[in-house]
Amino acid sequence: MQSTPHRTIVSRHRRLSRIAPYLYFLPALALAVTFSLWPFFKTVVNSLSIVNLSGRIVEFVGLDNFRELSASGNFRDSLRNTFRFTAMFVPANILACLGAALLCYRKRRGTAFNELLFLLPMAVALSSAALIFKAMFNPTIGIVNWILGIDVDWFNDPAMAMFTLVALGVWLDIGLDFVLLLAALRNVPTQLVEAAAMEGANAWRKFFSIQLPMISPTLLFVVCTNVKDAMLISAPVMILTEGGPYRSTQTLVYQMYLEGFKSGNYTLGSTIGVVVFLLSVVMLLLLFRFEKRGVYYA
Amino acid sequence: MNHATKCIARICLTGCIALAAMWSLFAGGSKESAIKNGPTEIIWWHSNSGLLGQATDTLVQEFNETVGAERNIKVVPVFQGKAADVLTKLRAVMQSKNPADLPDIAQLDATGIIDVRSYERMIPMEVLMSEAGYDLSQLEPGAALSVTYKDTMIGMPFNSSTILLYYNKDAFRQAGLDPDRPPKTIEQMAEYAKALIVRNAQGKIERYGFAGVPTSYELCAWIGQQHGVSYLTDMRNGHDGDPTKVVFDEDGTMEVFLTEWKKLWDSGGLANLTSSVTQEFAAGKVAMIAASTSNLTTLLASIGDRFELGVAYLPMVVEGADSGVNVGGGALFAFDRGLQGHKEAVEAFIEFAVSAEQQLAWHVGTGYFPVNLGTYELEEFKAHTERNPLFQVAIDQLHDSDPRVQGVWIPSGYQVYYAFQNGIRDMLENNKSIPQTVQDLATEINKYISDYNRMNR
Repeated sequence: MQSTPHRTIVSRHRRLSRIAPYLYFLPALALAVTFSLWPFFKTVVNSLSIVNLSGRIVEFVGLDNFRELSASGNFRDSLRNTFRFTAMFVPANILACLGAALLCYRKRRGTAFNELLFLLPMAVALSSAALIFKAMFNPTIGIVNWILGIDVDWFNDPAMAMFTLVALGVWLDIGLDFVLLLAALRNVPTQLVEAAAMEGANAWRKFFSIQLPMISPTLLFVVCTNVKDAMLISAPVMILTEGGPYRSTQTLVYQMYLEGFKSGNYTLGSTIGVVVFLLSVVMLLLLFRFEKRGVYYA
Repeated sequence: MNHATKCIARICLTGCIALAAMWSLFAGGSKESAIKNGPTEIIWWHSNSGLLGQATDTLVQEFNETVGAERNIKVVPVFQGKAADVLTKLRAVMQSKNPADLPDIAQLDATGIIDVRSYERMIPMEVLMSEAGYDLSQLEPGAALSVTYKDTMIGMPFNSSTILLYYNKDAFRQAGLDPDRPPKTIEQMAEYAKALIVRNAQGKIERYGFAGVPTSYELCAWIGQQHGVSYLTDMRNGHDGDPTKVVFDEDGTMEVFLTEWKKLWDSGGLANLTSSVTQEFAAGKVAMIAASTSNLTTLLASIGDRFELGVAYLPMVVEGADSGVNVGGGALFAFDRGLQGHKEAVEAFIEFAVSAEQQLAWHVGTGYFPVNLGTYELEEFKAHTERNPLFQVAIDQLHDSDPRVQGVWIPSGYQVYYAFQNGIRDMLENNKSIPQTVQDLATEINKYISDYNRMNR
């Protein structure tokens, strides 16, 4: 009989520890449901329906919206621009970040200062950076034309406008990706690199045969996040080019913003949202496939 | 429970409390203004920054210190970003079931009218003002018509402007053109543009005659001034109800415009610029542009004494298309938040804001033209236009225009804006035929209209 209170405590203890994990899970779940899962679900439902200006569903239309979207020249422009941006941004960004990391990974005098310089873009807010780029690329009073001694009308020429977007994108992303790649490069066991050097391997050989495979897991992560960022790019477009000139920098998410938020066309906005999601997922899945063959885990 | 679990439990608990606290904060926010002590607070969402922002603050301060103080009203201006941002936020409140979250007054441009014009909590301005015995005939007729929907003035014209031709008088002199005789038609503008071209040693153009690609903004005037008065869409540009289709393809007005515009392009003096056009003009790289009268103050400041600025009526699309230009810009819209005494307070403030004296201050401070006819009679106004004759041109053009020429209220306004720009540029740069361009524009824009009507039956 004396052991009863003890037992109750123990059993209460046990019950609590059984529920506890779910309780911990709850706040995260609440946030996820409110801000991601429910909106996601709603977007999918909206994309299969006709939605009016007050956000209410008028009619269920199945895949009609997607059929109409694929016939729209405006949408095809956005699709082309998004892929064009991704194709330019991802390689440019990887080259820039990897290059910077390779310059800094060996600790020498001044390395800390160099690291700081490459990290600095992380401390600048996106919209400020976009406005600064807008001023820098201004054809008449901008510093870029002045320094290079050229007369390029950056924002009135479709090809050039896309270039300014890529430049801004790379500059904005360099901080984080640089840190990740830098850490990965420093984690490559020195004895491997030194052994290779003693065997007479040159810098290229060391990089491609030892360092690159060793950092490939991090590199895959960086590529994946880059692809995702590129597919979803919208904020720099909004500030720097507003999709212009002639829709040449109108990306999918920017069009979604125009249709959904500026024009109150929730039907079209949601449909584009779903398409962007599917495209991004497919691209990431393709990258994960590559993981099996191309990524080396030590 | 071990230490780590306790720790996590504590963190979770704190998180929950924080969330709950935030929730009560949001919920409390909407009730706050309903508390009835102190002055009636009138919330005004606007999009005025820079010079406009200063003029806005002065206006509000003067009201709060005079009429507001007497009648126990306090106007609180809230800057909400660009006009489009005001609309986005307003739309969110309109979809929620909480009318108290609405602003009492929102300043919107033409793109926002479609959203608010049938909204049940929008108080039509004409009704609000007439109930208080305000005489609407003191308002500028063109400005009043620019916010009239189905014969009711639904908003109060406030930051009203028209399109205007800006030109570089020094460039005119260099090119042997008379700086006091700006072009009267687009065809003439083409001749001028050709004469104004300056090339460098390599043959690259350093100064263009005219820059810009027409959008819905320019076309409301260039289509609107034809055949007496014309419209881009049926329902008189959406002022009589939801438009069902464009009409510029059927009545030939777009074809006339494009034919003239092609002449400007063929002159070689037209630059298809869509970005920083006014800056290029101020830098002297372009000799003529068409832009809103509200740019006048800023342009005068940015040009300084680099060259002499001239302004003129927007050139007519063809000889005889003399109905002028429409009134654009923004207007104030009133909303019923379901709070006592707010309607009267809103009326008092709006009456103050569009009074002859305040409109003078607003005009001088911003370059928007006065919407109160009484302003034109003020001695101070006459003295101001004498000192700044360029402002007079803008006002004369307005008074010489047919007030029935109207801006367009069309769904997906931004997409339509770019549709015109892209279509016209396509015609010029890719040699598309004029009838084909007209047809393509009509098809694209009709799709936006029919989509909207399908969604909002």
